[in-house]
Amino acid sequence: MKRPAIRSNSQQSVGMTSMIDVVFLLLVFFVWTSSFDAPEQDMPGGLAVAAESTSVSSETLPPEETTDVPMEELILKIESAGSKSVRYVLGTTQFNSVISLRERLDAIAELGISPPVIVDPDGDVSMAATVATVDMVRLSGFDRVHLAVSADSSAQSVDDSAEPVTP
Amino acid sequence: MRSPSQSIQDGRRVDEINMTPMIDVVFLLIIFFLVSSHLARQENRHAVDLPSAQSSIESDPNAAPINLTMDSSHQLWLGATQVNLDEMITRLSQTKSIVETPVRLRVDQSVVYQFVEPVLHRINQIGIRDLSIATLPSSNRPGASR
Repeated sequence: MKRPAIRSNSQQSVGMTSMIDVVFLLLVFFVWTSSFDAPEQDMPGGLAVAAESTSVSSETLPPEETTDVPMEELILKIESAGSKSVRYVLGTTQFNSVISLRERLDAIAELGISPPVIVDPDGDVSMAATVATVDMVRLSGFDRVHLAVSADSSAQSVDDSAEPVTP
Repeated sequence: MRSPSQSIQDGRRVDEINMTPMIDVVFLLIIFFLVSSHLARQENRHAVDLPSAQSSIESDPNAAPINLTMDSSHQLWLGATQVNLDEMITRLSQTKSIVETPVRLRVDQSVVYQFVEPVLHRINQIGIRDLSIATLPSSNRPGASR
């Protein structure tokens, strides 16, 4: 950097212009590069495909790769019970609150067995409730959690309600 | 750039180069490339209101997953491009080594499962095995009773 000029009256004046330039550049850099989006995380998206779907998938894939869920799995259904509430059916037992379901899952996990759990939401259950349920099952100690997918679902076309908007 | 100025010190001529404009330009170029690459990275996914979860899996930071997004109006986005389901499956099928490629499904939390299930089924049909569901970190434990 150029040295500050020495005036005849021996008073040194520091040129502030360059420093302000650099400070503004650094400010712009950090403001533009900082991200205000919340950091996202991932949840495993294992799928348990119904038997009807397996035969369809086997055209392109070996059947053993279509699903790796053995027979002794727990099936947890999520049913809609009103506008925003849901109820749970674990096997044949119905739970109206998430707390009672959580206690049952903890009791099963304390037995030392962790069978695969297939979460089967109804069609009108939101993804928020679905993910919260999968999260709860995983936190109870069940590592293998799968989302149930039926072959009938492919008949429902998302395209009808999700046509790309052409400008 | 300003031409070198000449000054005389101790009877000798000394050339001086003013470095300030060059440093300014270099800083501007660095900021331009950093910001443009940052914006290009942000455009890789469509913004939606993700569901919250406390548990998560470790994802490979070096992996470049394919982001599939379904927004609250059930419209599908492959990266930042709006597509329909058939188009999305076609593009995914044409991707090289799609079986090993990690795919992140980003679904708005208000979307009901009947719109997600066909997407999952088609994803499974084309052989995608490394599928994950994107969530936001949550602090409260779901269903915690004690």
